[in-house]
Amino acid sequence: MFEVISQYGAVALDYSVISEFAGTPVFDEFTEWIMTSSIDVYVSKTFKTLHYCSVYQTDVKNSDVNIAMKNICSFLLPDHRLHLVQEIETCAFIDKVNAVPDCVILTTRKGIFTKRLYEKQPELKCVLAILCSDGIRTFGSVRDLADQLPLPALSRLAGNNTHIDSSAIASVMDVVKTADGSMSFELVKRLSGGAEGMVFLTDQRNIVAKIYHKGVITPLRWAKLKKLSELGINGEGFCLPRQLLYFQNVPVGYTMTLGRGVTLGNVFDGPDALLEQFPKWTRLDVVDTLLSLIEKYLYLHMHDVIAGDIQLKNALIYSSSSVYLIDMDSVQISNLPCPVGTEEFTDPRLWGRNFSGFVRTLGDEDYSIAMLVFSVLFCGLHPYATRRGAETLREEIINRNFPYTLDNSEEEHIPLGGYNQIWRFLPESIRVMLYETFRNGKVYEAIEWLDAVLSYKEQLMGQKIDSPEAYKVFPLSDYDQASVVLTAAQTAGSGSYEPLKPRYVKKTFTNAPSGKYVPKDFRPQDNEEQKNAVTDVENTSKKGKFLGLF
Amino acid sequence: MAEDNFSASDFGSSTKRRLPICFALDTSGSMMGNPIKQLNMGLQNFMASIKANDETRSSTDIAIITFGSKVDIVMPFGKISKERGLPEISASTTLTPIGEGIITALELLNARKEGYKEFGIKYYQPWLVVITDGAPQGPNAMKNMELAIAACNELEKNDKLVVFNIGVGSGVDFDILKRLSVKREAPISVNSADFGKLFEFLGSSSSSIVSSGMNDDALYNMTAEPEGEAVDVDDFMKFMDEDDK
Repeated sequence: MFEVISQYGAVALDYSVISEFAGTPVFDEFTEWIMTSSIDVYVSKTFKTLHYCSVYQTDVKNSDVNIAMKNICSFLLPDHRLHLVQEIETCAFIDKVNAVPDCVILTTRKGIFTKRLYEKQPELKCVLAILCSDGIRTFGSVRDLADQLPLPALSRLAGNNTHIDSSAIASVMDVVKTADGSMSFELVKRLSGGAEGMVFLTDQRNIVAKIYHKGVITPLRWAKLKKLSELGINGEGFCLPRQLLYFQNVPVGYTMTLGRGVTLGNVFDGPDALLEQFPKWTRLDVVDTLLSLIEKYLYLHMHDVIAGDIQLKNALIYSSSSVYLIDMDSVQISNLPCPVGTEEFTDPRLWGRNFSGFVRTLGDEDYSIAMLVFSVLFCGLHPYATRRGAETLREEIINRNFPYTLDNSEEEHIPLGGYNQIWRFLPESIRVMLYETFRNGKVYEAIEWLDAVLSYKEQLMGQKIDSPEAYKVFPLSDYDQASVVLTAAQTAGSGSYEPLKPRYVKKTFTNAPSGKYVPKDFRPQDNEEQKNAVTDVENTSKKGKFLGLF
Repeated sequence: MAEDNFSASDFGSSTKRRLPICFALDTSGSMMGNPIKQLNMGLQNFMASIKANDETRSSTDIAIITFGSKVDIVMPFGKISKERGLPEISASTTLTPIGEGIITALELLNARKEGYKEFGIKYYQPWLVVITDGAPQGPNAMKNMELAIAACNELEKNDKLVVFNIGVGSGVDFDILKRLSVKREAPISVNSADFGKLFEFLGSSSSSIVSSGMNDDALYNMTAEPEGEAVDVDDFMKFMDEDDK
């Protein structure tokens, strides 16, 4: 199969090739080809980050991926044939790849990378090869790709609002079954109810059933549930449909794993709510929660799923490392659209459109991820919550009335409650990204947000930021909250990222300085080691770059 | 400074977008007896359902005013607490100063919005819920009602207010009640025995706004029936087979 591209001297490999094909005969053939040829392999920082994302989901279906990764590293690394391109944004990576002589890009049709190519249309100076189970198709440009292999059009089911005419309504004590009758679940207790249906505990441990109200199951919904259940995602934090359920041979709902905890919206709801539920939290916990969330959304993107309706109430939190995505039955999978979304979290460019009427792009979701980053870092606050602002939130969003400034020269429009201090104590890189997004309308890819938040976490864990206030959930406030005692060795910028167990000291700060804080004081010091780790394509062939990464 | 005009404690530290609702309730003589009893019960259930829902608990912001012999602010905004439940509402006199009641409600809603703005709290456009079983009565009642209608119409037209104009029983002057809203085709008409259902409807509507991101305009045309045609299971499954092709 790989003869088509065997004449090239280098391959820029996309992670989707591993994540979608590991464990299949196609991948064995790929491994054989790479092993027996002398081809150089270039991967982006995104490749590496997505692999971490997959590993962290502890999804049993990824065991093939982990084996595949170890396997190819085992012969590419000793030969110095694996090169890391320190770029995360798609076009920046393409720019670097364009400079590699005699290179072919190898990816898959449904992967994140290919979707970004469709959306961003970068200029390619090398051939693009799309790997399918039955062969490889090559394209000279992104335009060729879009012409010859267009993205799937919106499913015809999207506009079909018929529903099943049936009086079968399952409730407590009833037994619901899978289509072939091989599995049955007794509905034991009603857990919650909403506009669409009810969730029941079943007689099987950790398995709950969502049973829809009459008239709610449309062909779109049922087709979507079917596709989602076939994804086989088993990671603990995904309350995705597992089995479709029937009652008296009529479709009624689906099973999913039980999520634990409270909705994110009730924790990230200002200081009182957050500190009441997690009094021992520091900034690191806030950042960990955010990372868990972005990683999960990226993991969905890797599976051709776009969440669509991202908002704080669509996740449960048990601890900062235990987060569950819920209400997953509305997401977009492939060309089956997500019909819902809120004004607060949806990209304003999509406002006014019928959400059932188009297939959302990854670019459409980037804004929602940025919203998520802001809302979690600011403990529930909306970026356009503004003092003495416009009459409606809608106007604030349209006018991009983001009340924060990069030089902190103006704070009078920032809501009261210490949010100006949260802003001041964020790393510069994140402040710039938030400012560019909400003030200037710039769009960052979801993976760029993950990368930025990961580096924030490294700064917190390595205690690279000098001010102890930066480690608090609410810096320079008089809330009763946990703080971290900084150790001198760490603040000297030793470059060690060994996790330190924070020593929590309950302390009330009543002597917070009232004057303007000079941001430079708490900026992380330059880290030479980290700087050196960033290398361009030209010198990525240094030895052992990947050791310990996978 | 914000603290000069508003108390931070009245607004709480929640970051949720607020939905201010002001009830303007008729407590004229004709509401005495069973109707006022049903109204109290309906309100209690409404508050209980608001508190039971994660989304509405910290989002919904409620004030109650009554209009009988005079206009009373029975419960100002931000004053609901676990300790203090809802005050019992009683009916007593024969006057029905609806217009004055509505104008007071609009003033309360406006002040609340100013408070939100001062603290940087996001909000949905406010709801005015007027419940009456009669017609304006009392000195200058009609003149004030005209003022109230003009004020409501202006705000509603500009999407700055959602009006629920609700008539109870058969003694309502539906013509004048209808004019309170330029968006609702006809006032919502209920029997006092149906207060329970009315408040359930208001509760689920507020939940739709704060948790489903429903558009305000949908509040003027809500239906419980599913859209689209009902088909049997076999026909339903055929759609999916066709889509797979």
